[in-house]
Amino acid sequence: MWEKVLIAADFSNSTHGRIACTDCHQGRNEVLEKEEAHEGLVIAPSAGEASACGECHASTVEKYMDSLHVTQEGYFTAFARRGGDPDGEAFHGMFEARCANCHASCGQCHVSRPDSVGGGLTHGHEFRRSPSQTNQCTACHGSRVGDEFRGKNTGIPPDVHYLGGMNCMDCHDGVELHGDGTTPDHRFANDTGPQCLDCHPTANSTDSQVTHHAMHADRVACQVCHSVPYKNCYACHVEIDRQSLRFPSEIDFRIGRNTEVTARRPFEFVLVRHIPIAPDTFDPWGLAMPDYAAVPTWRLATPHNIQRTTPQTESCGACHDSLSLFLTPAYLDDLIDRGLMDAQEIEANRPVVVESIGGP
Amino acid sequence: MIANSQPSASVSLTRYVVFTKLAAASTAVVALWLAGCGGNPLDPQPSATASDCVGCHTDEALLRKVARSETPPVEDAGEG
Repeated sequence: MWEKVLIAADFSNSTHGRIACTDCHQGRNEVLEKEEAHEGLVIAPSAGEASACGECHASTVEKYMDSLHVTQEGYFTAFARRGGDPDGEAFHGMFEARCANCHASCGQCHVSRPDSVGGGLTHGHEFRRSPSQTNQCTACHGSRVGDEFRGKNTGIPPDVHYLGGMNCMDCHDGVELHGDGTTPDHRFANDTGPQCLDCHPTANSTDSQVTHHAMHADRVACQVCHSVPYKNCYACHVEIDRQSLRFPSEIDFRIGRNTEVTARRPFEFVLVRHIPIAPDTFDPWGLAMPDYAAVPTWRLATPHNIQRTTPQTESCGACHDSLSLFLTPAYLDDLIDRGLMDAQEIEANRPVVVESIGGP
Repeated sequence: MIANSQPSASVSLTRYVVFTKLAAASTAVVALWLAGCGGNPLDPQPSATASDCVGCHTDEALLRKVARSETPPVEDAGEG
């Protein structure tokens, strides 16, 4: 506990250190008794719309309040698309109790560890322009993205970008994370997010020197060929199967049809990840989803485990001779038989499944 | 006959020793007070030189003494 509130001796020499503590944290500066000094203390002054950071960083804070890290709009979008009422008191109550831990304040990226993993100062109250991949980014985005990127899933290698010394901020910059003042419906609707083409501009061009890049330009997402198996969520949202057993996440690899076509993602085929949400997931909160099947439960995925060479790149036959890597109706039936999917998900995922593909 | 009021050498020495010890003890008490240790070394107080929050929060020894016991960490509620 003491490490979480320890301030580095040289903090006072920094720009933020020259600001009086009470200017941001309130409390009482003139007394030495702990309880008295902490009267009116604001532990996290960067949180909320009254963020203390806005005093000096007004423009950034104003935009950030509309960003996905604050609004978590994707939850509301998904619920609305399934016919739920995301503006209702019941949904907000459930959200605050179960989902709101992932709200990220300015401080939880720039000076402290997120509350969801225990909080506390990370570097003696030093403010860092770039968040720490370990203490901040993967503190929240750890069990899926972080594990993929660092090669923590058994038998799955780390992302080549990680091996090359890159971290989260090399792709996900402040422009994306602070936002542009608009609120995307979800993270894949965010036009400020990174694309492979940002660093590999000719990769999906029909003029590419790589034959397979030229052939599949704009039809096949990069990850389809360059990703390897990744975690699929069975325990996050649906914890109990028919036999009342808790399923862990499962490592899998599925190619599906793109149901989130945009100018940035014009692809026909993408990787999809199972994010199970059962028709009765929100029943304990009295929340219904009358259009449950309106949204697939196999959703667009961009696994952070990129490899130059994968089983998919070994030959054209990896994809064109077999549907073994694809999300097929038979595959869904098997998941239902194993108790990992609900039968209602068949209808929900009809736009995603692949029943056949053309030859090379 | 005027009485000899000068103390004997042994008495003077004794008084000198007592005075010296008292002076040393007084100095120590004042020094401890200035150090802000108060009357109970097991209940540390911040240094009297600490004038604001930073004075306490940069004092690792003090924080170790007064830190609350840790509550169990929140189960990782990340995106999965």
